[in-house]
Amino acid sequence: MPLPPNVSAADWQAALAEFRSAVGAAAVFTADEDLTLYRDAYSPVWGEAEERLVSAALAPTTTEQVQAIVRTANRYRIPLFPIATGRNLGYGGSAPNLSGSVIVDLKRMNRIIEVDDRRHFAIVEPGVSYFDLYQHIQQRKLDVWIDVPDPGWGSVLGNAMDRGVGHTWSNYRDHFGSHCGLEVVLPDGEVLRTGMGAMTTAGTSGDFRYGFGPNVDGLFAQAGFGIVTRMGIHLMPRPDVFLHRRVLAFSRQDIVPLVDIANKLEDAGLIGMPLYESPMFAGQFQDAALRDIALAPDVWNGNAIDRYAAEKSMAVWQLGLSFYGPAEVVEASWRHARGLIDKAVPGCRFEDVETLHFPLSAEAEEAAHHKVLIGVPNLNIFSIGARSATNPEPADGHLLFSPMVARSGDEVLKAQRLFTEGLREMGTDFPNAYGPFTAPFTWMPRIFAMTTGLPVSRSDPEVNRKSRDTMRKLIELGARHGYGEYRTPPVFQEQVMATYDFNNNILRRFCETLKDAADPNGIIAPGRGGFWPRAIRKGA
Amino acid sequence: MADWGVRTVALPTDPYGVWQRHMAQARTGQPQAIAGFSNLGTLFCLERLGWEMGLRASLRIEHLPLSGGRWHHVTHGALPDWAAPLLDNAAGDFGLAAARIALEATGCGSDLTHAAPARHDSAIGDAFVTWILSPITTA
Repeated sequence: MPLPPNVSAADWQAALAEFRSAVGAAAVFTADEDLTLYRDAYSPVWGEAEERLVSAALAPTTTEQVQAIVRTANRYRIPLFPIATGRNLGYGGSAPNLSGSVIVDLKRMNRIIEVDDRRHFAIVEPGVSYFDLYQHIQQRKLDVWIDVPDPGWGSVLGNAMDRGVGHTWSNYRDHFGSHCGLEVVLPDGEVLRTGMGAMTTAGTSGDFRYGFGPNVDGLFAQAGFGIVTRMGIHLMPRPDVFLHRRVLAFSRQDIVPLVDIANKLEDAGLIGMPLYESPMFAGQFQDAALRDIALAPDVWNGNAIDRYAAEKSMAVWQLGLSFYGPAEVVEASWRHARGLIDKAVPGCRFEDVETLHFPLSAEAEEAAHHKVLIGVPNLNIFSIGARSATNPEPADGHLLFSPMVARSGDEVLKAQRLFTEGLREMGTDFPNAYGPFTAPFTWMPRIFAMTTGLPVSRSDPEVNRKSRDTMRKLIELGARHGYGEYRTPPVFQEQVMATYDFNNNILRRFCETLKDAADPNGIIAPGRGGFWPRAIRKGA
Repeated sequence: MADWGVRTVALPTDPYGVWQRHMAQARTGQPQAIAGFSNLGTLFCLERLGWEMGLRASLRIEHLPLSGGRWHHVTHGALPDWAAPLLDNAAGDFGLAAARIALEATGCGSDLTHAAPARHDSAIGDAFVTWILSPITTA
């Protein structure tokens, strides 16, 4: 494994000795068989010179140990890369932006400090996974829910710091947006608490996120301004009832009123995450006639799709609506939603998918259709990578292209065509990537993600080369049309940051200014967020 | 498996509950190896959950379905000479043959962390994998 860049062998040994003194010899890892675990299993540069490898890993158990690590790293100018549980698969996993970085593996800091089910928040350390927090709440029969991503083995704190997302109400599924108060070890080793945590006498750090003065929390997400060692997060009160209902719409153009109505319902607080899908996505792999329609140049006018929908009675779109709350309220909300949709989408059909009353028995929970919609962490997502009609050649992993698209049906149709034709012009044939049946993801509130996964391989560099090339072109294509990415693996972070180009990339330049001031030796996660400290920055 | 005196549990699509209820608890005492037969996604999850407990995949035999009810078997790492013919001659009973290899092929285990799934141009369905997660041995 590589050594930290520009660090002499003697300094490296001295630093390791200090790290051992700080966290104990058993928590300092330098052997290849340990460090290989920090490779990104979904790396698009697997086994190539560009792969980001680590020089050592440290596993502290306290904030004080993290402070000692940072002070040593500053003395020897050793780059650190903090990870919580290291399961950010698809967006970099546990690998750093800079080869030779020392991983600060925080998974042994796994205390659930507090869960308050009357004021609805939790305070956790980085090593607490969604499974851990869920189990803690279940065992104590607390009256709160968590919002979980796919999959549920990641860190509550780590996911929020990468601006990860979930599946319930908009207030909760933006995980950074629902955080409340941070404890951070700064690049000089000092400890900062934000929000009400900045007042030593206050007991409201899990309630009120702002406190007084500048709100600096955003500096610690998707960036290297400190190591976050504690976080508060707002939780959802447990509802009495969950209703999931489905709308089936039979015209391509129906996406326009469907989105308008779902936006209205969601922004008024009547529904949770709208779930858009197209039954024709799977259908095209079962019926060659539909696949031919999808590939025809004139598919975008929708006529052939609508004819097929009418002939086969197959919906072009389906919209899942989730309602949470007291029985009489959710039933009334559903009646209201149904009335709006019935009026705006002629010929649509409605289906009752699921009605659940809480608390659930273990059996009922296991039988739930879509566990993430009811805040139950799971690992089911890993079964969707299996070989199937829609996934004929499973990859070893994927890298995710996630452009943000305005929340309107017209924009969905426009982005579908742009990315489908863009891929064709690139000469790339990922049959599942984009097409006329691509539906938007709604994880992030008030915006659509037209996310697709490009395959990666741990045995075939050609697959990775092709995916990297495609990814770079998609980022460029998206940016030309105003579709910026919200999250990306380290290999692409500089490129994505460069697409945020207002005023000669002032966002990046301002981050660099802050970085140089707060972290003059550039030791905390250099390169994370697509900007670099002065010592490494090109042209500095 | 019971004939071999091995305690068994069924693995559902989401392996986390089984991991937590059975495998993780079994690991809190003295180090024990865990053998399994699952799809690749399940092994991917269990490998990573096992890392934190000092477990590494030390045996990995993939079973890829081909047309006509045939199966193609791919072994990772070193196995005894008798293992490959046993699998090739097992036809539909390959699971039993692989279990025998897992239980009897002692001393062949190597660290198969990050092994890449096998490819076969004629594979027609989801592959299965026979595996062992065992405690790492260091010098």
